[in-house]
Amino acid sequence: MSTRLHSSGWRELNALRVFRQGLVVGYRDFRDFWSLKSWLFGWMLRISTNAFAWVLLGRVVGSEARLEYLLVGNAIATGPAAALWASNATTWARYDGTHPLLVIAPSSLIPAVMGRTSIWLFNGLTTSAATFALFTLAFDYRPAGGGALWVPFVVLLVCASTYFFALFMGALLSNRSRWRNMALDIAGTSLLAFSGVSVPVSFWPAWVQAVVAVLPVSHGLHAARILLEGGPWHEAWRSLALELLVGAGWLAVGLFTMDRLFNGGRADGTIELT
Amino acid sequence: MLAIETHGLTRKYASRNGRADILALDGVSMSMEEGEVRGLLGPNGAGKTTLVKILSTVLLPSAGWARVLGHDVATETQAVRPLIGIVFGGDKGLYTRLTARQNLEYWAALYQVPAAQTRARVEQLLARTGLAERADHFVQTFSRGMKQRLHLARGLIGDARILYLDEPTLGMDPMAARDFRQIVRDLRREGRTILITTHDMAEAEALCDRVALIDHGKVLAVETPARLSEYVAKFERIDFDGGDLDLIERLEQQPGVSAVKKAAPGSGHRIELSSETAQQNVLSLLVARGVTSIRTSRPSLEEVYVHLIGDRGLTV
Repeated sequence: MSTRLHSSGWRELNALRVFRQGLVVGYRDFRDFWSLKSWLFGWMLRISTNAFAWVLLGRVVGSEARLEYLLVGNAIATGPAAALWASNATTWARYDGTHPLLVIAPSSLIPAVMGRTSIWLFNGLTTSAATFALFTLAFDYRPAGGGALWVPFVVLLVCASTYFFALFMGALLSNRSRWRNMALDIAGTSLLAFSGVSVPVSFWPAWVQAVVAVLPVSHGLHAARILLEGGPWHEAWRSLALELLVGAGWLAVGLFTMDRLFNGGRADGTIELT
Repeated sequence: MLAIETHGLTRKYASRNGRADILALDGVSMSMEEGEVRGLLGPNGAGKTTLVKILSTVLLPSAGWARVLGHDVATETQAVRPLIGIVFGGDKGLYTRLTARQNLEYWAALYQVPAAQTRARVEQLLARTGLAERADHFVQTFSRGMKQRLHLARGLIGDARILYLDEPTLGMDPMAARDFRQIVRDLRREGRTILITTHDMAEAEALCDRVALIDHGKVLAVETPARLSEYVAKFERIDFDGGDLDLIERLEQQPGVSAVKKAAPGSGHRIELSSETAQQNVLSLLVARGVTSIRTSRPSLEEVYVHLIGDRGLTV
């Protein structure tokens, strides 16, 4: 058809366009879940209350240092917890019946899926930022380190690496979508329990630490603590680099899995037309 | 060039519980000219949807091959996909939380319609499918017929040369179905090739140049609707009012009469023929016995379908 161009630059531009269109679908998904009022007084209240409980527990049973540990961990962790919802959103095309149409469209379905699901990444960023602001005011928290300005970047990195992990989970769940809620709960709870949010990673057995090291959150969280406490920059950068590496790894694994499983349905007949 | 060509097309599904594999398509060979409207008729599980899935690159064949406008559907998917559009029946396949316009803009991006042309293409399709006035309404507020027209617009967003319509008027009210069929006729006039799977005999008769009857994964016959009707000319029916018991007995003894049934209390009788030559003798006998209310009826595709496929029919 004369209207189609196939240069690589044009394809990249079109992928961005598909991503943007996917984002429109994701925004409508999000609005179906939350209005501004229900997001503030439903979602944020639930998330921040849960985190508050941990921080208050720290104040009751421990020192100021323990309070800060729990405050930083729980404020930042609300972001990844929200971003993990992208795993569920990855399966929604099956419910819409749009999955086969995406598979047979001339463009790759991956930008469309990423566009639709990335709204949960933005939700994670906003949730974490709002919780952090709330806690800072509520507990009169004053970071000691000058690296605090870098923390939004760390939050972005932690949420993004969790989002990429969620894409991988969503791809795995695309044919087993009835397990999606259970998988989300298990993954979310495990990340929060073992990644140094409320309990240091070093508390857990070595094999747990090894698993946590290749999962998102723990390295970024460690970097955030160092930056906020005014610790050595080189150690913070090392942890940030590890979080970046973990995120990039999960992005690669997620894209590969999506491509293989979504298109693999052509061979095993798991793509239904309706 | 043929629009669609298949040879020995076979698809097996692996059984999950240790039973034998399921043979969904069994060596289907068929061809369609460009611009043809072809119906695929068959009961549930006959293999219609499996065939459409393979032709639309959703599914790989286990054996045999299929080409769409000369491109192999298994190995040249990137060449095939811009050429085809697929339209479902039912509520699936649309983003109901988006507006009609947003749905079409979304698919325009996925079908690589240049951004500069998207607006005009979307407007044109909305107008063509009668949705222009509802373009900015959320799809979840649409009636069944409106959703189906939006499905069709979506299927055309990439200017597909070949359209697969899978049970397109399923669940539509008669008026909406009639309007939808008119749009399909217009598409045919533009030279698009259309493959329709349907249970609806009237739809196949109204739209199709030829009809393929499919069952147990095999194509039983590919004929024009009129030709298929000829297959059961020998099963033609004659309805009449009046007549006594003696006449009924005489009719039952006539060569080529397979049955004489009372249709319903007070509503006359139906004679079922089993021979093309029986009609004249039966009509002569009825007239000779003073019967004046006589009706012969043309066999519908449904009867052809039932005779060729058997009593599995439409309820399977």
